[in-house]
Amino acid sequence: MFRRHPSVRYCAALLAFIAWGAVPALADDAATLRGHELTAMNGDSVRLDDFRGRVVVVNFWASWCKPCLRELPEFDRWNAELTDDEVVFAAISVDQRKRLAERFAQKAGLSLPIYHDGADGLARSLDLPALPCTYVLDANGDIAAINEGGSAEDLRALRAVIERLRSGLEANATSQEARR
Amino acid sequence: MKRILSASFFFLVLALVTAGCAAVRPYEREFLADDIMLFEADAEEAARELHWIEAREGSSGGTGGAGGGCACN
Repeated sequence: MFRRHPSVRYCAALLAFIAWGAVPALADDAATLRGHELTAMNGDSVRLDDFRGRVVVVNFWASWCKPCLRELPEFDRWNAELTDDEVVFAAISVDQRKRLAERFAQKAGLSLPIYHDGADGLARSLDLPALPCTYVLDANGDIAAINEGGSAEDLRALRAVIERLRSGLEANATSQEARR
Repeated sequence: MKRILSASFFFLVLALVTAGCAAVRPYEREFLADDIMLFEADAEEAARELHWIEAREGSSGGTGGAGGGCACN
């Protein structure tokens, strides 16, 4: 009965078209992250690829995102404790207005490396599923963990991942030295 | 006639689907998250205002939820 109605075929074609459009593009997020040029607050340009060989913790935040503002001081403490030859942090603001990010960073006295990228940069390329959102890249530049939201439990799990990757790098460095 | 009806139905479905809601991604909510978008940006001021309205009217409630002080539910 339905076969006779051209409208059924029209609708099926339309639904297929919508479903095709809804399938997310399988972008290589790690490559996107590594290759994107970020602007530091002082105007310097940096690519995360420059940190290849280290564990890179990339936190996306915004001055209007309350959970981000609760989470950032924690990352700032981690940055003070963990940043060395093996680990590096990058807090990327997705604020449209750079001055809002600057104002918050100054007010909170953050020592964390902060970059401004806006909503149309990496955030859109990666199509961030949430804010705050944190990516951990391993020494090869591959994504080791993604954390959406900033609950205490999530942060504990994230810290465990960073420390595991870091201890792996340290173990590698020690074994290389021993071989020499 | 049948074709016209079919085409009309198709365009009706198309209009319904394409005129749907737009999804706002988490990183696009800067202006939606602005304090100016709140009905009551200042909670303390709102509580003060509610207090003097209650004092003036001699009744409380009726400010949004069910049970507006009319004893009807």
